Amino acid sequence: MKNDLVRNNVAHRFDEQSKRWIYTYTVDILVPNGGSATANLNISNDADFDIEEITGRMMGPVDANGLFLPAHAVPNTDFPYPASSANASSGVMIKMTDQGDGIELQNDFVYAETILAPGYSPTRYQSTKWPYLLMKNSNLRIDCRNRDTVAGAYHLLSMTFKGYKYR
Amino acid sequence: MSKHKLHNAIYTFAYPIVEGSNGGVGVHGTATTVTLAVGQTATLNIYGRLDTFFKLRSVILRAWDSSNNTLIDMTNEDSLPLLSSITCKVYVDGKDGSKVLCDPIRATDLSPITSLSSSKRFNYLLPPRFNITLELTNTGSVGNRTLLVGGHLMGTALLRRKL
Repeated sequence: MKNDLVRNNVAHRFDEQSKRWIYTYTVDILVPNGGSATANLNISNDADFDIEEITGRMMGPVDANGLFLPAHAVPNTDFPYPASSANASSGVMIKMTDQGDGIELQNDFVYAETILAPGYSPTRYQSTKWPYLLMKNSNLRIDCRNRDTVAGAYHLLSMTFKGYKYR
Repeated sequence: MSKHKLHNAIYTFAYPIVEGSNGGVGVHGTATTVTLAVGQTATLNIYGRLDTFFKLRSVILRAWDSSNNTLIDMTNEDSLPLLSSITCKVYVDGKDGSKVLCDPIRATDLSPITSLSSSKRFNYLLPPRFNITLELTNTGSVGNRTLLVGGHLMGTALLRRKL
């Protein structure tokens, strides 16, 4: 009797997992200081993807390979070190658009650190719940702006989308 | 799947509380970052889109210490009083007139930015072209610092033409 219950439970779980299983997509974006960059989260053609939450972190300043630059390497930068008076108050800002359905997920660019945990260093501890269904073969466009103004350096944005694949 | 029928009518959405590309308070869909000296209060208006209703879930704020040009580091206990010195009062102009949704509440209690706080839930449905007013005050005295406040409104958009 007990064995039957376990067997049924296992069978049920396998059946469920064949239609819906946990999955994570990641996107890395290198955004030049004073500039912008765009990346696409491409949903594979095997299943729809239901985002549950978004996390991510930003690093800056980094070089063109995404390697962290110490303060002495970029003495004039104004982010995240206290230095010049240039406008770098926000670092990276992001805007997400579902290309598949043409739906904007934000009204405009938002400070990345208010959405992403750990953000910069960390500025947030809790992941952001962002329930959103992306269809297979679609893509989510992520536009980024970097308001750190010192030339020659970058900010690296690493985003993680946690959710479930549906078939 | 049935979920898809709903997802392009009702979906997660964010309104920025930042300096918009068009700049200036009152421009449709944009808002301006507020700079607050100690003891100073500023109001900020955020206007809704024409094409969607909006169910406001939470207001997420963060601060930049513009006296020292640094983002307030949440891992540094010395920095926390700076953020908790910001209070925010929320007004909405909805279908049944103007309402206050909260008395001045500390940014650290409003936003899920520390390990201790959880997001203050509003769950308030607003019509298209709504107007939300945030009244932000820097009540602190730590280091007499000026704070630059930004963030976003988090919630659910309900597409008007699909409802």
